[in-house]
Amino acid sequence: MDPIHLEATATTPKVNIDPSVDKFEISGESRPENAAKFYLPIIAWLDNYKSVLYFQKNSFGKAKAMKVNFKLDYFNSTSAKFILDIFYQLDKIRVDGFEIEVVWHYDGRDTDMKDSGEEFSSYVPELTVKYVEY
Amino acid sequence: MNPGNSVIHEIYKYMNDKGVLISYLGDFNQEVVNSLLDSVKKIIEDSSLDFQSGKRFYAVAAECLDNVNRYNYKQEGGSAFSKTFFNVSNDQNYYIIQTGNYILEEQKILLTEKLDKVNSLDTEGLKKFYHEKLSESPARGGGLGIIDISLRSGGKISYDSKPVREGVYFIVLLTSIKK
Repeated sequence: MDPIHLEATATTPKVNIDPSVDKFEISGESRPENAAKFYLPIIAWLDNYKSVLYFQKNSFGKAKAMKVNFKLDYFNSTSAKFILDIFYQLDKIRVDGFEIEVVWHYDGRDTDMKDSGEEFSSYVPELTVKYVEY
Repeated sequence: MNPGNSVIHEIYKYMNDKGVLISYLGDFNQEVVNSLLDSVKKIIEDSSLDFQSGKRFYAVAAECLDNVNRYNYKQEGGSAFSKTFFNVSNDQNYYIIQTGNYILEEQKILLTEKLDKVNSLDTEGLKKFYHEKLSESPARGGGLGIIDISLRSGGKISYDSKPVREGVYFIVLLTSIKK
């Protein structure tokens, strides 16, 4: 599958999704003018990636574990809905039996951001989420 | 003195005396929003707000501008109802964010229902409401922004609307952030 490399803009976060180097990362500020246009391809990519994981499992007996990093400075409320959809998508990967964890990075002075991670996690309590302060 | 200049002197003095930090009146688009938010960042940097309060201030400003973007009514092909207002001012205790925009009556009813509901809730109630709204589909404008503004500002959102012609109102929202 083709990786997704998007540089950060004033309104959109940096996205670096490249399984060939084990990178699944969304970082920066998120308040896109059209959040659906920005996030739906990422959600669709994650959905399609399951076929790669199944292929690895069937060919090698085990799929590569996924570590998905979020390092957001700010996201608006419209983005929040899509970030939750990403969490749902990641949880589907877990439900299908693949090893996956989310790492939620937050500025130690911004505990609201940690709370946001916990809020998303509360919808998918069985998905492993680690909180890392920076 | 040119009478036009004298008016500007008066407006400037009035705004300065009222503690205005940013005031914008004009067309509204993404570039304008980005530029206004850059100015908000500068105010936060120059303020004595702690990091968390600064983040909340920024988030409230961003959501207020998103809210304008969502409900702003622009008259087709005309300029009579095209100007939007954004103002940040401060007094001894608060930063005050105000927005003003034209809005269609049915949108105004929807928005003010959300504002009344959010203003009736305490922090715990707001968090619960946020949780309910976040998971609601479709992923667009379910009033989450209004809840977010209230949660982060820690206060009520006051509003006023005035009819400008049949079916169109001008609505002003005011949010305060404690210094």
